[in-house]
Amino acid sequence: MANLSLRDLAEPDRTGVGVSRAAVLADVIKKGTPIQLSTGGKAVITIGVAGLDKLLEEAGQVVGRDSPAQARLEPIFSRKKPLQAVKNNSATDIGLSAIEKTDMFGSSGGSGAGARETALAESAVAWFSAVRFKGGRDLTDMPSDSDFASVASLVDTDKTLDDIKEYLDNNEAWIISITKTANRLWKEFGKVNGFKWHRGGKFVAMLNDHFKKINNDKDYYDHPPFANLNKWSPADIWACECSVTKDELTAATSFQSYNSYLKEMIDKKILFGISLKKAASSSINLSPMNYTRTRPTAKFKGIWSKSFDSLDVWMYTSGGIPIEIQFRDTSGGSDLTWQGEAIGTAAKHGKIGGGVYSKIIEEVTGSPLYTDADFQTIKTKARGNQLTDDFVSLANKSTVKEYVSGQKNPNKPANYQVPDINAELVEYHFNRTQHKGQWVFSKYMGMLLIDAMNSMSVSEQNKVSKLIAQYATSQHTLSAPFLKTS
Amino acid sequence: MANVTQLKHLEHIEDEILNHGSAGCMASVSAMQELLRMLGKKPSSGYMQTKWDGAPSVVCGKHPVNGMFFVGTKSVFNKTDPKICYTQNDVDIHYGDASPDLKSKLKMCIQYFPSLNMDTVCQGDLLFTSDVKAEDIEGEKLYTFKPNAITYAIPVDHPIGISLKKAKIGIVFHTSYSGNDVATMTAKAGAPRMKPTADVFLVDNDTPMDDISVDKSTLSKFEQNISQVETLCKQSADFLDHLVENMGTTGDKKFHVASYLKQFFNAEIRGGKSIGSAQATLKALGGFYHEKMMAIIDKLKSDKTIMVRRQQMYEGIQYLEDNADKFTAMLTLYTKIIECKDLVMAQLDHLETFRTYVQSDKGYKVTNPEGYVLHHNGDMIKLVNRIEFSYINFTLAKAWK
Repeated sequence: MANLSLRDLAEPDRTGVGVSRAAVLADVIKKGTPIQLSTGGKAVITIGVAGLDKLLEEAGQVVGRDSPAQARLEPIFSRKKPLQAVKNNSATDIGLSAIEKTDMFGSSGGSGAGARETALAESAVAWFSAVRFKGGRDLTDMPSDSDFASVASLVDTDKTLDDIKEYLDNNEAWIISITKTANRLWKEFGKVNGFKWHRGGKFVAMLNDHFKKINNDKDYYDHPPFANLNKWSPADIWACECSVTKDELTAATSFQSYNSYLKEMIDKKILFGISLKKAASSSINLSPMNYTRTRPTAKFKGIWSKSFDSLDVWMYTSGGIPIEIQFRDTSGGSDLTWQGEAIGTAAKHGKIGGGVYSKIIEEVTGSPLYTDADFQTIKTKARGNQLTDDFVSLANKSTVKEYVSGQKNPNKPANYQVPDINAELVEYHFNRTQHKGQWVFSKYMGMLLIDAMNSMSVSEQNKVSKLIAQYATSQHTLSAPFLKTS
Repeated sequence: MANVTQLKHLEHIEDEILNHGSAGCMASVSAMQELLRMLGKKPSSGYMQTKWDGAPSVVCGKHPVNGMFFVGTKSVFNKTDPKICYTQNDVDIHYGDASPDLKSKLKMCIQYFPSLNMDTVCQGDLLFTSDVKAEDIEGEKLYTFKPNAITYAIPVDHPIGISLKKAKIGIVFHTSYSGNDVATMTAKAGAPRMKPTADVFLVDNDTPMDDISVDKSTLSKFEQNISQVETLCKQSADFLDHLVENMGTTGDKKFHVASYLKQFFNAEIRGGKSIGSAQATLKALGGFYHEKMMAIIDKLKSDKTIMVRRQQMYEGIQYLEDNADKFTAMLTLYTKIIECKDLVMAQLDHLETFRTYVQSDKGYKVTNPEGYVLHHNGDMIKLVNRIEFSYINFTLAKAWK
């Protein structure tokens, strides 16, 4: 598992303690909760620099390393070891890297974990499932080497079995989750034998190729309905009863027919894709998703900046798909890219390019959020410090002002100072970031979205929210049927 | 009465009529009835602790989350930035701005208290560290220590004196806490029995009520006084509730004469004045209120606000005049409760093993213990001779610093 870093502290907190993970660290210090050290064992963390606890609490109210509260942590953590690990009333000076990045700091399953760890865990489900479907009993622990050897021809994963076993040896909690998942899949599909299990590999590459072919078919769609495969189907592994041929699998010419074919395959227990999640409870649910034309809906809840200083703007939906989407520059400043990362109640749904959101808004209102030309102009102006006038003008519009200033944030700190947005302030933010133009670009793009959303009718707001939420959670009307574990 | 989550401030028994009106008055009567049972050695659910004039107040024990020993002042309970120290370095970090004396004492707590093997969290007042002296007082050799205003003394050849001299630190624990999180722990009067060590001197603050012996006539007088207080409570009930309703620190209530009552009594006590005749006290209250309101008005700039405040002041004075009889009855009740309290304390003051003195310009002067805390029906209320201790705190203590 990775070690904690300053970058982690600036990331959004998903534990409910604060806005960013700095709040999580402040909370464990405040409560005296022992936490895992990267060198092994647990210790109580205390501060070694007076006032650091207060700084962490303040930083915990904002995300993004460029926000002033987060920026104040940088010199403290870069120069020395400002924390202490206390065991048996004996303290050792430590830095952040001595703390393990555990679940509370965002290292839980799903996209929060590293891509390699996710791939290993998903590959493990393929192997365990193959063993479960071949054997006669529910799994209670990691299968034996001979069990694995007996299903080697039925598994195709992009991670080796040795890597998977090594990963599970160090992550025992996953074994329980994976055995339960394999047992649950057998309960649903076990009467049909002969499945081959795929995670990555040629089979998934073939499905991906066919997805791309349909997605880019201009005869059917004016523009590609999906930005990537995940939004069409978020399946992590696929099980295929291999009597179907490649020709059959790639015969569909539209998403409507492709999805219809996949539904038929699930019904016949021939082919199904599964979106996996680390099991949190004693039982695993297996739910069919996108199985009918009916999709859960969502309503617009609001859009605002949590603080003016940060790069981001947050949009919230409620109803059947409650999600929050963090819009910001995700390039790190070296280039400029504007994306929205959707976060649900139980999982992240990945980053989606601003172009997708722009097209959804165009679909509802008739006008895009921006054109390609607009986007290039904004980037160029932001880089050259030419965006200030446009920025100040947009920021002071009635549809934007209170929303971008942080005033509308219902969870703003009691002492939050709502800024007066003027050219001087914008110049200040332009100059303070290492990558000039990153903040002004990111915030300006966010304001465009705030302005667009707040200028719509309620019905349009809800429709945009619904489409965004459905797309973000792979429940678009053109998304494929799949099975989801929870 | 004070039903506390964390021990921060206890109320005087006589002030309960100003804090809670008629309900506070009847609660005081109930507390006094409990005291009557205790003095008469009848079955009682209450118990009494002697207040020790220790300092600083420290909270320490086994951390409910991580099990490690910790120390701090009442700031360990801070909702934000709790100042919890596991190590001596933590004291420098969290109490960097505090006096060197406080830091040194907290560090000694960290050094010596782990040997007590505390299984819970307790609050206590430090009595001494390295400041125990051997002194001759009125021809007797005594070990003395003076954590705050009162000097405590014990003969050097007393068993307690002998163990005290060997100890590095002395403390009286008076409260224990339970809960899963330090910030939300709940206070309970009394601390679990702990085994003192050679380095740590522990004082038991339970008032030795078993040693008490009160004659029948005193008990009878106390009983009569309680009946009188109860009668007065009933007579003044509506007026007390009316006063409490009109007290406040914001809006118009801030300027109502009722909001100045506790301030007035505190000022009188600080000035060494006991509450004498009701009529004279009422007149003094009127003067106090006028003076305070004029101080407010003198700072105002807006003519409109000045007029409003003046009008409120005139109405306040008129209110005093219109309700003179009710105020007189209330003041009689207030003094009667103090009389009851003094009667109880007179019975308790001679029970303690330690002698108590205050330093004056003529040397040591015998005084009484700081006061007592009655625990009754889950509530805590303090009994303090306020005139005497106000004098010690504000006059003698300062004169000797």
